[in-house]
Amino acid sequence: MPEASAPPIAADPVPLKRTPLFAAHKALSARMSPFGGWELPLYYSSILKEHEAVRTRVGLFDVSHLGHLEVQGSGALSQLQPLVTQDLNLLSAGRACYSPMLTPGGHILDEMILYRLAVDRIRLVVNAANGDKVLEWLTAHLKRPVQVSDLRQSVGTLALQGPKAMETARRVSPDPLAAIPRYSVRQADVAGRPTWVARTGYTGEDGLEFFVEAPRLEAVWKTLLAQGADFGIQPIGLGARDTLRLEAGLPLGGSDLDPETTPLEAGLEWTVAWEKGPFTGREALEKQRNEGVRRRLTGFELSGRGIPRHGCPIFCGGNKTGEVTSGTLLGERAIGLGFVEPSAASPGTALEVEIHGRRVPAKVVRLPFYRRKK
Amino acid sequence: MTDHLKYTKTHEWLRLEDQQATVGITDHAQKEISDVVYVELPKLGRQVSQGEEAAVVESVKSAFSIYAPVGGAIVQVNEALAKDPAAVNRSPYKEGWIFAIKPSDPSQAAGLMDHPQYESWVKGEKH
Repeated sequence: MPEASAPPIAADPVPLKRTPLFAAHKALSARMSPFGGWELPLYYSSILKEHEAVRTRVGLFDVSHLGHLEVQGSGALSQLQPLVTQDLNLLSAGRACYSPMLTPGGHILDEMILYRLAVDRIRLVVNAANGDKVLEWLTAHLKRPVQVSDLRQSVGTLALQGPKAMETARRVSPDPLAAIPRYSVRQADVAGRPTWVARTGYTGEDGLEFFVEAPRLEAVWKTLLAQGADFGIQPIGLGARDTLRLEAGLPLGGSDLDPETTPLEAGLEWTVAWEKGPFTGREALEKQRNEGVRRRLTGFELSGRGIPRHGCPIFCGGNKTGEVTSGTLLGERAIGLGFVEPSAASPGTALEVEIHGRRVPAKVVRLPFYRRKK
Repeated sequence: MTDHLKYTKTHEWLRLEDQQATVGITDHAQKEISDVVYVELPKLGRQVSQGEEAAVVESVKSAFSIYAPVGGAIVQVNEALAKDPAAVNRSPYKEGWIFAIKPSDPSQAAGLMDHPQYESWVKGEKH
């Protein structure tokens, strides 16, 4: 029963890291799986059921593999400004923004959410697999009195997502968590202790993310599950996290974004603040903008049967134009993301995806595949 | 019910009756795969050799190859799986059968595992 078309996974010589909730996941009969150097729940009941729970009710994710790094000190924001593509001068205290961090060649070193907790205090939540790389990059570029602290061992993240997330949240805090605006962060009393709570997520639903010190993680996890019971809360594994983010049209580092990808190729032009002035990678990006990109991350939907998977070739007009980077089947709908040539990236363009040696008709669709009803 | 079946190390089961061998995946395999959402069936009449990939069972997460436990011609495929792939999870030994082979060399089946052998193979594989 070997996986037929899974992307090759390099053998990991170091033992997998476990979140403080490892035992709690096992107690919930989670099926565990390696991801980004961590041993994480893939699903508890079923990926499909968990996906549905987040779309219709509320789900709770342990995403403690995400790396917390904190940049602090007088001038923290202005020192970070040239390291990311977004304009941090627009980021007032209490606000958050999604931004790539680029190499001098314009490639995405990592993409992250930056939370400005206070005037001179910015929390970076980065991809598990890129934590070391980002920490090294920051250490090399930040100058005193600005310092970076590595909170990866001490802080975990719980994501509460879905249409009933805010009602669940109301029960775990006397503070008005529902008043936190989208892409903002506040310190609030959660399960009796001050906790950073952000109105962010990676599912396409409304919800919150809780930044919790490791020793309290299990208590907050259990409180959220207990208080969400009336709303049908489910613990959600990485499997559904992946299908939810794909349906929401959000790229995944390591799957859709490789170390050679630029924001212009990945559909992340909106994160590039050209007017902000110099930033690492700017020259390379300007050159690419002027010359035009050679490939573009594009959403597509199959009209024939099959499931597109990472690595499946994509054809346009009989010629190979690119490859699938993510794909799944949700209900009757087989959807995916892939890099194709710009000439094949306009919505409505007819494509073919080769699946198990068979070419299945598909067409380019506008992202996201799913948009929540407000 | 599963006692008289033959089993492979790649978790297919085989039921031999009337010159025809029906193939599916074991209960252990369906649990491992979970949430079957699509089954790619072989073409009728296709000749497969023992151990050749004959079908693909796909879950939300991944695709899994299903190998022919014996060589021969594909004489039946379970078309109902097109509408109801979840039958592989719900009923792996009955409604969830995948295809049937007319074996070219019936003695090949003798080399497969019986139920107790398969059970201990599964236990051993977990370590």
